[in-house]
Amino acid sequence: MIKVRTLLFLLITALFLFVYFTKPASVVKFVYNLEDIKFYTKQITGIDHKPFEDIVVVSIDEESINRFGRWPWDRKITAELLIKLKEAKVVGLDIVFSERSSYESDKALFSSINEAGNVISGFFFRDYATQTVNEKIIDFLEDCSLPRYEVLSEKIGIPEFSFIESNIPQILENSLSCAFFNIKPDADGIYRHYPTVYIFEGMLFPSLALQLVRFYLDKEIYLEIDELGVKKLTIGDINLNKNYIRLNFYKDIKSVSAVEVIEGKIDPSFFKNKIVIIGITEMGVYDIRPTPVDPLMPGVFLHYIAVSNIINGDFLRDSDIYDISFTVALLGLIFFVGNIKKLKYRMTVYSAVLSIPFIIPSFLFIFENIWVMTVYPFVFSFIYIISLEIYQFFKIDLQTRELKRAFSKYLSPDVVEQIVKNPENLGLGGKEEEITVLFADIRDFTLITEKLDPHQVAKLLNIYFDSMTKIILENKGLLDKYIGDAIMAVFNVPLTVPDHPDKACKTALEMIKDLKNVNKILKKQKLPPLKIGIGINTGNAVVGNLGSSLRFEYTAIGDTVNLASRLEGLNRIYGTSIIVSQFTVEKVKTDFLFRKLDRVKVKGKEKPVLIYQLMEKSDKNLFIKKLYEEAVELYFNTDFGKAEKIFRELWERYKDYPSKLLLERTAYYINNPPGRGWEGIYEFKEK
Amino acid sequence: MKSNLLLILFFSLLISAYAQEAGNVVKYEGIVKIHREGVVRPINVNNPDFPIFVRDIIKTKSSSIAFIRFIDGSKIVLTEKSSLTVQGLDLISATEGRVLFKIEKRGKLKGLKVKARSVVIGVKGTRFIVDMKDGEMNIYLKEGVLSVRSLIGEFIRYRKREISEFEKFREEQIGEYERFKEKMEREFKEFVKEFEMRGGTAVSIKDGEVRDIRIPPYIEREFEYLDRF
Repeated sequence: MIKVRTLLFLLITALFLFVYFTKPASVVKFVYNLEDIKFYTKQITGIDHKPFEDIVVVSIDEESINRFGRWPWDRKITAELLIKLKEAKVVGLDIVFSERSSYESDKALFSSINEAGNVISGFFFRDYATQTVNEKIIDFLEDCSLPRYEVLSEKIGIPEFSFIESNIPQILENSLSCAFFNIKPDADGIYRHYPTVYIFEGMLFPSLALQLVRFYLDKEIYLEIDELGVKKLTIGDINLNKNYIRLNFYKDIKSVSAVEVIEGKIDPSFFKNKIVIIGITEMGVYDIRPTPVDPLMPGVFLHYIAVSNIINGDFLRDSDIYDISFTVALLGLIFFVGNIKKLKYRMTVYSAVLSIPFIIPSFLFIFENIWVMTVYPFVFSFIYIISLEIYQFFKIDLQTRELKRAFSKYLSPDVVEQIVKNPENLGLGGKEEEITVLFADIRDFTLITEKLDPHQVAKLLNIYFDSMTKIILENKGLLDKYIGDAIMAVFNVPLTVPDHPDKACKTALEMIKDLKNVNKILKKQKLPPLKIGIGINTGNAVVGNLGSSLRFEYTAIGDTVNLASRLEGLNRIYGTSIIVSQFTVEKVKTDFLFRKLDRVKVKGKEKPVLIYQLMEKSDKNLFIKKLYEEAVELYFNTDFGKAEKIFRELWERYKDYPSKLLLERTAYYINNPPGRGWEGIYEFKEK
Repeated sequence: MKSNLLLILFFSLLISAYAQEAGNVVKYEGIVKIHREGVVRPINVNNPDFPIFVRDIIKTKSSSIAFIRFIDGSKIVLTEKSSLTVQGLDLISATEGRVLFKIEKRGKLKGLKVKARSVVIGVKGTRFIVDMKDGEMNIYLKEGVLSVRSLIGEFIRYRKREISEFEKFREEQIGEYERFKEKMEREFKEFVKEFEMRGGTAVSIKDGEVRDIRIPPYIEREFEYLDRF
């Protein structure tokens, strides 16, 4: 059966994949904006990567516009600018000359383009236009397209355009080549990606940046395309595999003013063997694009960044595989963290895991130029944690109810409550603990049952157990087990009861007292009255869930338990109801009435133990205790004559059974004095 | 500009020295350009007997034509807005437009192969035209035998059955709908990786479906180009 944790893992992974691949517009906008935080993180760290050295933007800026007038300029000025740039290796135009101007100006421009021999003219594709281009322009454009490509599938996944805003034929004819400068924003209107190739009239055209790199490096582009688009794009040592590259923005962009170039303030040799891109940076001309690092970035800078990214190879490498593996790995990590039992530790590790989507992607972005998403891993990890915790909450609630239900049969409600609050106190396996054990047994039960049918026996036991168990539980005792007609109860486990010897003694007294009520009930039910004997001992025992993997129970084992059982049995001999060991008496703090009964050695025990009778407090019992203990001391000191006198008085006057027993024993020793070294220890050979 | 031209010339000479010569553009009309391996700028064909090499891409512009003689004597004509890549001495790739072939026999040697989009045409001494337009490709075979093999999946080859005299008579008797139904049934299809064409036949290939077509008169006339050089 699949565990709920696994099921949640699978469900959240499926939900993530659904959102990741369907890309709902509203979600994508939100996600893109948050992802851009990485650029600010990079800015804060002060770590920056440098653009390619031999590339410069010639800006038609505010100063140039002020000097030469509103754009578009007279083409003679542009011609002059191009001549000044003829030492450059390639000059890309982020400008289109789609209409004719004056004959003289056009002629100057055509001549300068021809003379420079390094101009890559720009054009842009349109989704819709009212006019189409003629065959002559298409013939020129063909020379700008990429000739070497391999189509690997019937359909190809590269954006295709039906219309173009081209340069006039003379510009194309004189240019070294041409390229499109369309850049498409992301769903939220922000520019983060730069195209590699588009299709027009069945031809593959490179973007301005790619064409500039192609001619700068003088290396042909080899393409493999399939239904997903660019599968492989190779240009020299540079490899791309996407329709769009993710731009890795620079802090500094090398730019000079067109006016400074035209007026000769910049020496033409400055541009020697460089890549130059001419574009408009003046805001009034509206070639401004919002980017993650600048809401008002001139469009020409995007070409600059793209060229530099391609040549340096420092464009951001993103991949579905990176994002999916990272997110699924995080969800997997949370799956394992869910195993941590303690909430505080689990929460600490969860917090650490939730910081991973911020740390690792930022590190990969800043130092390795790898773009791994932060938002999806974080959000879906968070959802998974919340789901797990909600599940844990209900699971614990259910377990608590179950625990309460199960333990309420053996423990008092407040002990159950404590266990529920601190379940870790319920250690598995055996553990040595100091406990007080109480054994209670019905006197002559076999004789009683002989006179009753099984139903009556069951009824009798139910009435008796019900009453006695309540008393044990009320005193924070653990009902360990019923053994036939006997009850075994332990105190101080599973939860600590600091005054456990007192609690056990109090329980015993209450049990004896309550037995009168039990007998009244039994009488009404026409059942015989009961007498019980109780043995109490305190000491260390192995406590815990003991047994086999198939069947185990929470119990206590050891000498402490055995002695308690033996003491219970001694009640028959001494004619008492409650016998308590010296070990319990030593630890009791309550002012109970204990009578030192005897010094005995029970069956199976090497060491003797002092035993006490726990008596109900009364003047009579106090008097009996005083006399009896006086006699016992005489008895221990082998002054049997004096002891016999007191025991006889107690028996004859109060019918005190322990005194009767000691009287018999004293009489024996008077006739058969014990040897030297006798310590008054009476050894019981039977249980 | 001059330095660029000199550079192109230098590379052309360098490539000429090392690359394998595949043939010549014997004559041309209009604008014919060659994209040479390792050279970014296309080269204008500006004189007859312009050499072509393995890995060259030859392109004709609108209202242009190029007559090419392959090194083994085979003839190729690129009509306007056509493109041809010399992939090797035994493999030519026609990528767009209409290209005419007259392939010379190579004795016992393996015949020249022509690749056109997702189709490979095995040739042994034959005259044929490959005409590519949008998603459709027509192959017109004047003489000889061609084997046409699909590179992606299988062709759905539609064939026409022979109609007996009796069936002709019956066809005249039945209604228009029945005739249409019969026509559909007469045409049966089979899935083949490769099929063979005989002289005087033509096929149209679109979306993997191959249908028999007639050779139109203007194509018949275009075959004459192959005899003009």
